[in-house]
Amino acid sequence: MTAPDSQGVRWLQSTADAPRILQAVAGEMAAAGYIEDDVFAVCLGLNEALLNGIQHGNRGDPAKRVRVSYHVNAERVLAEVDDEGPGFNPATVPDPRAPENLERLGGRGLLLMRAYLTWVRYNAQGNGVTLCKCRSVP
Amino acid sequence: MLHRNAPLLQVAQAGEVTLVTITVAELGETNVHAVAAELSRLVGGRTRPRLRLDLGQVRYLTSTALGQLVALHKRVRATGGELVLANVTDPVYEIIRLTCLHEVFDISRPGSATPLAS
Repeated sequence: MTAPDSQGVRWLQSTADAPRILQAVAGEMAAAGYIEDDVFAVCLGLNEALLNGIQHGNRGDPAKRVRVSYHVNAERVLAEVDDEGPGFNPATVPDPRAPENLERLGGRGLLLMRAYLTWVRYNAQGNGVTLCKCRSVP
Repeated sequence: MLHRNAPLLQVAQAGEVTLVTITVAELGETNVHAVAAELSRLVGGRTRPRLRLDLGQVRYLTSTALGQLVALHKRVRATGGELVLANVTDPVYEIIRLTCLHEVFDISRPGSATPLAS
């Protein structure tokens, strides 16, 4: 993983790079006074987005990278994750909660992102996603 | 968040039941494949394996880890065995519930009755 550039952008090449990003985000959220549940939610959702980008978007190609940037302020956390793959249509991802899909081995990452974050938006090509978590009201 | 090279699980036998305790707080890409390989070795070649997987130390798991648990469940069931996820913590149960896998897994939570007692 590269160090963040002047715009705070980092580049990942493998899933092994994800923990350091998550540690950095968790540290900034804790410093900003977010409750533990919010930190957990962001780390879970962002981790799934990073894994999707590396494993599915870039299809594990080590020559391709995933771009990630994030911003923590007093009200919310925003993160952007972009891969170098062809993209996908998130509307076509089967609901893993449907009875016929319950025992499938994959397909739960997007559901978890949407469940734990305030909102999740993909770009038109489907190879970039913006994640938002608003601070929980005590 | 995820730590490499830490002990991943402990195994004990209680009668016919194999007790496996996952000893990491986070089950994700950096460790779940090693855990799955060890669990696969434990049930491999056995008929009707009875496995109690203690998740009491696990606070977080990824969708990949969920998939590995589903694979283990299907493998154990295919041989007529039993798999119980025991001591499932609140945050992990919430992940399981959100994905409706509580309808698939046999789950024991802290303080509840203990299925698969030896």
